[in-house]
Amino acid sequence: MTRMKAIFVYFFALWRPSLRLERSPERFLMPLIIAALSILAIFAVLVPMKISAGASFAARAVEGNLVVHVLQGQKSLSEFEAELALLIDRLESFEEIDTIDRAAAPDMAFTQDILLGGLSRDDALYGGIVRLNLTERPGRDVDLEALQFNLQDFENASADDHRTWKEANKQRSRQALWGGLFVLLFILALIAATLNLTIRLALRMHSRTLRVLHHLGATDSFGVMLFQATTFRRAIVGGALGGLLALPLVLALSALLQAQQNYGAAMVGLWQWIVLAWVPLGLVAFAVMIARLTAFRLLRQTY
Amino acid sequence: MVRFENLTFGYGDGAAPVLSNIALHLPPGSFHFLTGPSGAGKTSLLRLIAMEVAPIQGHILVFGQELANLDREQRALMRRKVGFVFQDFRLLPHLSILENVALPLKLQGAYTREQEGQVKELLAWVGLGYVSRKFPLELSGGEQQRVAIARAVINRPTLLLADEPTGNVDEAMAERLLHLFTELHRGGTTVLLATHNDHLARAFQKPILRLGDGQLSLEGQAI
Repeated sequence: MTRMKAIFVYFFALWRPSLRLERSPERFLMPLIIAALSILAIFAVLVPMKISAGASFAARAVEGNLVVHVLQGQKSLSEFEAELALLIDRLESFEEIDTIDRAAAPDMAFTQDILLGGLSRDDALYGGIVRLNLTERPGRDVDLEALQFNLQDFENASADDHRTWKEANKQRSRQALWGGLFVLLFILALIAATLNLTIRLALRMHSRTLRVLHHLGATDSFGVMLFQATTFRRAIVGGALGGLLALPLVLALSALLQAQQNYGAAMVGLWQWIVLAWVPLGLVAFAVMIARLTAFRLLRQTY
Repeated sequence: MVRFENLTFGYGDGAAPVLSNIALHLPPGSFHFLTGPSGAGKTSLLRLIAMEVAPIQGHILVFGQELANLDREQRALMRRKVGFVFQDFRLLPHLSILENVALPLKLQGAYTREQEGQVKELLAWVGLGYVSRKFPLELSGGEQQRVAIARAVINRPTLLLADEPTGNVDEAMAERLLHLFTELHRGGTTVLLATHNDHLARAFQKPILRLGDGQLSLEGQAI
């Protein structure tokens, strides 16, 4: 109970310390900076999260599937259809393959698949393109190399198990993650620098007050609490403002991604909302920690 | 309570020391006036005890502890036992009179309604009950001085250091304030009161420490 009371008193003192400082002109600046950085931080977390979710969704969608692209090239339609029939016969001979679906028009992944599948763009420019979607039998894996070996006779056919583009997507996810992390670190550095400057200015501005408090027996912790409380109040106002301003942007982005069928999974889910809500809160906690450390360090250098 | 051993103090390198090789002992519960001409070092001596400045050489012991050996936290805690009336008052202009006087209590922890009552009572006693919600800059010099005194004594300090506490008040109020100090002294507080007003010091029949030419001497009784 005593511990709970101590925690309550600490947080209450964070919001409203027993002593107030003079109003300083930078009091509007800090909430605005924290608000702007909160918005940036939310997107630095959201964008990699969405890219990663989109990549996972796309990977899950083709799990257990392979694809064979066949180009018509310079062949006549009848020659092409005959070749396709032979090719499908060949594919049906594979025990691991369960179903074979013929898709007429290439989808969004077409260009990527064609290029990454080893077929030349020039050939793709002539005639039609057929995409055969292969489904593996449950519990059986198609050996891609064996399949490719078997399709050697069909020079305009290319088999792929989506590994190449999935790998590329993974790489993009990793890049986005590192990019987001870098932006977050940059934001934290910016907050630390801003607070360092703000607290230096505040110490100079309130030097008379601090000097009097010091002579009356104020410990460094008491002095730190004043700056920490001020920082806490301003940061939480800034964080809340940033969160509120970011909300319509996140909703708009979510709706936009949801409208794209292939990225259906990219909508913002409950746990993602929770993560995003923690971003400004994390910045507030970081700001208070930096304020505390800076004020402690600077107070020890005075008087 | 307070002991100086071979203490020398001065401002800046090469300047003549303000206090030279001084020895002083203020026993617990004593009351001393500190007198001397302007610039004799009265304020410096008080500032040394209040740990505002450090001596060039020698030792200062307060409450039996060598000040040079205390860390920042210990110094802060020791300052809470010392009431200091500054010559320049050092009131915080953005706080009300009530808040200024309550500062030492707030520094010591939770500030209760009962303590607020004490603050109001003390303000009324020094004749400032009517200004508790005002701010220092709205008061005259004499009123500010009384606020500074009220702040110094609100937490019943063990040691009270006062630098010209009656410098800005009229004769009647000066006497009233000195009676307040005497009252505190009766309650066990050790008092060292610096004043250039010899007449006032003599009127109260307390030991007088005289500073001059960097030396400290005693009138009346042994230190």
